[in-house]
Amino acid sequence: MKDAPLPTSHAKSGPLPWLVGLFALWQVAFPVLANLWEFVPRRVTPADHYPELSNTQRWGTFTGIEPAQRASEIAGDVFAFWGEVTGLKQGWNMFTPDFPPHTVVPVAELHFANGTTARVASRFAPADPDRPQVRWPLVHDREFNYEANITMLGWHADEDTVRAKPDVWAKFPDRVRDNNELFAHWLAWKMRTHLTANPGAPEPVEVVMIFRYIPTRLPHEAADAPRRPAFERPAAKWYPGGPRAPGLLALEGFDPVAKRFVPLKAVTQP
Amino acid sequence: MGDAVTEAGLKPWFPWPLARWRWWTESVPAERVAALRIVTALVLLFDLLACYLPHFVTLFTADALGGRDLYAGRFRADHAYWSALRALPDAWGPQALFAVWVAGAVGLLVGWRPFVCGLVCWACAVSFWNINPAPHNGGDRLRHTLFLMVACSASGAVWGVSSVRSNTDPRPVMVPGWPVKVLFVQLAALYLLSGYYKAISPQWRSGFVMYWASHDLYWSLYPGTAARLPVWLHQFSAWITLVWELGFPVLAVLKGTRAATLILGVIFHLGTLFTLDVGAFALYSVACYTAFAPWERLRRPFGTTARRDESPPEAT
Repeated sequence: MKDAPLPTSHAKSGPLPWLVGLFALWQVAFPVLANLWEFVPRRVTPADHYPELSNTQRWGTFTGIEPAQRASEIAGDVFAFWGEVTGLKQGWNMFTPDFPPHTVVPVAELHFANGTTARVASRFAPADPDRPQVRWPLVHDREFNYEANITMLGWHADEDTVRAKPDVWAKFPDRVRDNNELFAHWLAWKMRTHLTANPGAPEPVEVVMIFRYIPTRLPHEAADAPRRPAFERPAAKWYPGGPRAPGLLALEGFDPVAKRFVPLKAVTQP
Repeated sequence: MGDAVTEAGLKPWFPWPLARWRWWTESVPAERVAALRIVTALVLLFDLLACYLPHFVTLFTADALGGRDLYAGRFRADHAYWSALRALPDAWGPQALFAVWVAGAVGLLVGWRPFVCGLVCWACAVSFWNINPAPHNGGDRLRHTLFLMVACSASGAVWGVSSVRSNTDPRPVMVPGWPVKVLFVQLAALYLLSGYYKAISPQWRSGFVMYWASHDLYWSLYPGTAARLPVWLHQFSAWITLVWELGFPVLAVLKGTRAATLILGVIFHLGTLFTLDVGAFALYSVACYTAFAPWERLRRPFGTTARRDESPPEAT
């Protein structure tokens, strides 16, 4: 049975139907145009540098004709403005480009003045990687999103990848600085969790974020084959007492190539 | 249609030739957007009460993972981000705005002034998203579109306390369909772009991405069970996802493939909800699909039988 035609809208005259029509047309065109415009290279401005350059926008120029390049960038500015005002930001690349062949979980390691340490684990860290528990969806989803924004920064920093791309991974401290509030808040929160659970415990002098990498069994390996050994690498160090020198953040980033912590300058945003 | 139906909602004016484009200008049964409103409100209430509330102090106070200065750079003069929380005191602002958000969701659920309640939910969602984007993901960007379109969709025409249908006038109610089309285009853009980036990834093309994802002890909700599944099944699920995302904009429009494509979409999102820590993204995505289902079939018959010209419209 063929569907009968539906009634179509015949608007009354007046400014309100006209305005609603304009809004409707903009809303239906926006997701298409804003996403397409990300494929048109644009020049980087100071406004594009927060917190990091978008990884879905193409950067550079698409033409040597300045008026055309400028017009395209103005159109991109309009789409960005609308996305920010309404929260309808586009740029969709979920679960890409890939998943690493290991699990990355964050650990907060508290260093005390007397040389001792204590660790506070993520709630999502598996107690036994070979007997992982089933987790309920949604229950701690918001906290998970927060943590995942941190761990994904070091997702691919296994030894082989760092060795293969030293120029990329030597810049990891810059990524820590770009996300310094994210790191510092998480480390401070874990420190407070420890102090609350251990009344009378001293305050640590530094708190190190460690990424623990737990290799996944390879596809051809048996499900009960011995797992390759897990390894750990620092990602950042936070000083509860504040910056160690004027002009620095209270956070240092770890350079996995030089294998040392790098002091981070406090950058005034443009 | 004559007097066979009641029209509700403000009909927008469109210039020629858009005014003659039936896909864009057709009205839809009011039950579709009413169902969209109700399911959106239920999902939002679940998100607010089960996902946000137990962690509220952690996520939105400066002593833990929140605070107005966590993303201070977001509110620079050369950006247009905003949050009502920037104007409210830290002492009670987040709690007060959260209460307003819950009230807005309840208003949507019962259909009380859904335009106002939809806008309230949208404004609260944007405010919490901007003040601390870290606990949010792509699904929360999608929900901003969802709330805006629910607000604009005359969704209170039926199945709500603001319903225009009365016991004395049981005629079917039709409302402007453009908000449903906007939702469809947003989903199509989301899937197509995600599919494109997957298609250029060697790991996605090989299908092994789902093997690594489902075995990830952090992201997977059931890594122990996933380890017992054959590798080819993980690969197959990756390929199905890839083809479905790339094909959605066409397959969901063609009459012969529309229903299967939409059903597969719901299965896909529910599947990710129970297997990966994708959070509320799955729920808000499924809520969007509500607008594409023929809820008018639940309508009480007008007279003895429904007229032929009240047949269900195209889903998208």
